[in-house]
Amino acid sequence: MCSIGEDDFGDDGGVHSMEPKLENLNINDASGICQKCNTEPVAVQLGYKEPECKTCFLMYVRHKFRASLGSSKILPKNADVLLIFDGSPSSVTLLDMANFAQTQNTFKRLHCNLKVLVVDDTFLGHQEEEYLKKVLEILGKYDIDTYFTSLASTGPPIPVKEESEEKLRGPWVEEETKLKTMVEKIKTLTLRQDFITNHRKNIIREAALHLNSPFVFLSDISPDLASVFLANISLGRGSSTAHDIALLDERIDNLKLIRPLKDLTGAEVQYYIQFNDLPTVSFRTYGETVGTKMSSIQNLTKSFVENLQEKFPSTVSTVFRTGNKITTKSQLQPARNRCDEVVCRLCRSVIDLEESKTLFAVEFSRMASEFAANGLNDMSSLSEKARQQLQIDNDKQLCHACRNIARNVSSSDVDFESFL
Amino acid sequence: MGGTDLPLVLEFGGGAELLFDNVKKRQVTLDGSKTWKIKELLGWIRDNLLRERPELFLQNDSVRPGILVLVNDADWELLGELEYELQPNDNVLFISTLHGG
Repeated sequence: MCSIGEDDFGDDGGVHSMEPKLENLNINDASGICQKCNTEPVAVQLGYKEPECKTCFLMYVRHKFRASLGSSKILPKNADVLLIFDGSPSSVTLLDMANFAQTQNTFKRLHCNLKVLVVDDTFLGHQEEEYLKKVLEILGKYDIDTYFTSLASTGPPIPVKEESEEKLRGPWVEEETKLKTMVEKIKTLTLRQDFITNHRKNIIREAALHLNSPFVFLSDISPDLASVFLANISLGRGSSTAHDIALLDERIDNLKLIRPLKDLTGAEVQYYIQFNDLPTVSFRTYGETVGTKMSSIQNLTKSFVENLQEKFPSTVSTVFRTGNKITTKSQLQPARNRCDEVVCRLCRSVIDLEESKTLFAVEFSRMASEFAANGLNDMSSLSEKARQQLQIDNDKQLCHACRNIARNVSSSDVDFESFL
Repeated sequence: MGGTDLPLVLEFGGGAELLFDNVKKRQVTLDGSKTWKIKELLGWIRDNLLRERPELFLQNDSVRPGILVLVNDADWELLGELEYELQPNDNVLFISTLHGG
């Protein structure tokens, strides 16, 4: 018979044999020596992972970077890669990792020709003083070809050698004023941020083409991408959001935007910076400086994700992994069907709005409000007018979200079209 | 002076310095006649150094989730967190992971 409390077990029955051996489960109560290498003292504990020493931690995060490139086989040998640098902790981490990977022995070396690009947006007035100087100082420590361009640039990027900050910023002063005026004429902060994000990508693409770099490294990490994903959905960019958060964005032929740090968390980046004693610059986005947490969809989404993440540490990865499973319609189509696609002139994603009932309804209701506001009573032609307006919009070759930006430029003196 | 002081180096990074007059690194000297745990240090920081919005740094007697604490370059979770007893010349670093990770 099998029953608890048999004589063999003494007074406490079988209880003593059922207790888990807690001392083996408590990973913090180790000897203080890293269990991976068995030599160095532990320095960091990430989530539910075993505590690691500095060396093992650095190997682990560098492996994440290398594995994202290696397993996807995106990068051919000796590819020309343009790394976008802004001085933020994640971009310093990316630069350092890429640089480190190039100095490895033959077996592990990252074979690519690395160039760095700084996209200057200080003329919008949201970066701290001396931001650019500090960014260039950091880059001076690496022996990598560096180029400089402006968010308002219209020509090829300038190589940064011994050039002074003034000289670098010289060529585009006029364009910068124009762009700044344009941005300020966009009615809401949400749309301003959305425009800047997409315009910045276009500047990066142009610079990469000028520099003959078919590959671009972006330094987005998982918490950034989680909020970008949710914000994109609210902005009406659902159909192209897959490009904005995946490892690879190949919206434009012959140019691949890659996010090799997409699996890193904020804590991993900060530990990497700390353990390597790397300098960083406080990089601010336009929306962070100009508005509060509540003033735009992007800011609000970001603070929502951050808040949730604090209380439920799996939030970011849940959002992010869900987003990862989404693909665009065009990605599923065979390549030969893609030549007749219409592409948005601002965000470069495929426009798939044919006969959208939702958009027609939105347009109809917008027209109805306009009619009412102007005191007009003849509602009969409304649906025809809405259809015509949609056709005009379609002819402009802008996607739904970018159309919203164009429609909300509040002044007729600025030419939105000239920035496309 | 001398044997009764507990000198420490406090560092703030990743945006946490904004709550402390934008000073990233500072030397402080605590009363060494008693033992100091990190728990007590946090109280001392709140009363003496924290300039604005304490809720962005502290939450229920501990630091807010999302702030990493390193003592002499080791994660405080490995040292007993709030119960760690500070030693002279310890370097305590607080990094916020919420701003521009």
